[in-house]
Amino acid sequence: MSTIIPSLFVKNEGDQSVKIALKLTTARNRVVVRLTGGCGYMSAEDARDFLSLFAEAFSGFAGAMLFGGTRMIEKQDASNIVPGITEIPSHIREVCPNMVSLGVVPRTSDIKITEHGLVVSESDVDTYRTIIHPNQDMCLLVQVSPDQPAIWDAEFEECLQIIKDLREFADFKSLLIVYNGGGVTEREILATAKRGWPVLLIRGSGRNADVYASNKAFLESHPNVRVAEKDSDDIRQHLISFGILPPEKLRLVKSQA
Amino acid sequence: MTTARTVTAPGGKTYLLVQDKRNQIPATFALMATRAGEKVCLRISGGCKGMNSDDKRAMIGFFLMALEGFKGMIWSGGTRQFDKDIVLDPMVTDIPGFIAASNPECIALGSAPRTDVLRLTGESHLTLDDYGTAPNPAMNAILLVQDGAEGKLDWDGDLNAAFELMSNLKAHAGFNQVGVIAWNGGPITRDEVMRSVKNGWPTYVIKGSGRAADEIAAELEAGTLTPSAGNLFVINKDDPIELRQALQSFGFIARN
Repeated sequence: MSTIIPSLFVKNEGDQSVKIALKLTTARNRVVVRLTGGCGYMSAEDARDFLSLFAEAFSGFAGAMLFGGTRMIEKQDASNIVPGITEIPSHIREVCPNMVSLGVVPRTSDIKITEHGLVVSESDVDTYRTIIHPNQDMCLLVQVSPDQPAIWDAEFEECLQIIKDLREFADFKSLLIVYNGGGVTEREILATAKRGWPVLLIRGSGRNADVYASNKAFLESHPNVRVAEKDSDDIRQHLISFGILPPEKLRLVKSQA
Repeated sequence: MTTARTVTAPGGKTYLLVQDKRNQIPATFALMATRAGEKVCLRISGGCKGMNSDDKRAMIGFFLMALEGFKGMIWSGGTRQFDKDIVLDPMVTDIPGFIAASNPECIALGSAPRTDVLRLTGESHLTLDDYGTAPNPAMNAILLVQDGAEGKLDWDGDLNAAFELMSNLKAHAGFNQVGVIAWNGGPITRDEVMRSVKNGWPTYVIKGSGRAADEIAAELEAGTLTPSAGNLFVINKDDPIELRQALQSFGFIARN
């Protein structure tokens, strides 16, 4: 397991972080991937083998990655991790040491310091609590102010802003990858597609990723949105075609050198 | 027709970002620096007082030769001055643009304080004061530092922002080296040199270029400079190769 100790930053509405922006540029390659999708409402079936799926697809990745920055742990047994999209970056990071990961977490309620870590969300109806993920390079906690929490949409809105800056001012390529996901994910798909930025929907991952992957009118009107099968080779080929990974030939040459 | 006012920055676009002196440097401006092919940064400080046209052409030639192959971020004050016929009268602030134009992976930036109310003159030309000082259109981006909407800063009003950026690049963006080169100049140039020295960055004064650079060089050679510094170097104005080799020794430019 990685020995990274994440740096935690807190941002009020209207603030900016030069430090985070610059640290993202320390990734070896000038690409940024935003990974979004299902967390608490993703079924066990949809989550099956999804960690290895992405770890294999992203082998050799050396860019920046933005994700939700949290981990869900069971209330009954904190050692049990509930599978969610936010588990993927740390698994990729294990095999991709030249990437930089940033978790963006909206502070939707008061943060609690517990023996399990920093708890950012907990409700009586859920069997799990949500903590700050311990395996990431940096974590940005977003709030309106110390007294006023943010809404869940603040996560993708902050990511859109970071990606916009990286694209426009640091010459980064970007890609939004969508696996499963509900209402907030849907709004992020639409916001990103509307901007004309590349989007990759994983067909077969469930819920809104599947809904939009089968929406012909949406795909035809947004040529920047493509669909990959739930298959590591197919995802990898799309990553290469978007310029997120180097072409296989070049990668092989480099690895042999 | 290309004139001194034509935007010659790559892509035909120079970004102009405005920062209040009480705020931190804009992340977008800092990100522009990271577009450079190599993670090194040089700030050119100084002036051209007492120099004639031949001296200025020689100054440009000196830097072009010394910095051939430079792939980092180079910056200076972000202004340009031209005569009434819109003919370029090269200044120290034109050096980054010349270097970037000759070295494709190099990024040229500039910073300037807002010393007066901004104004549009003639055919919508943006100028910073009544003397025709304008944003330098050879730079990829310029940071304009102001003291609120109505305040006016002195000409050193951008220095805190400038040094904040260089410190951030070194601390957070993986920049291997940042440094300052001084040519001629007055009290502000001396301030920049001493700030750079204090930060422990490689700092070069060009002996023979005039005024502050010469004074500092003389003090250093006489052992009267306070504080004395192991990271401050005197370079002869007639020897661009000496500067080139000094920059190579600190990794600013790859060795041939």
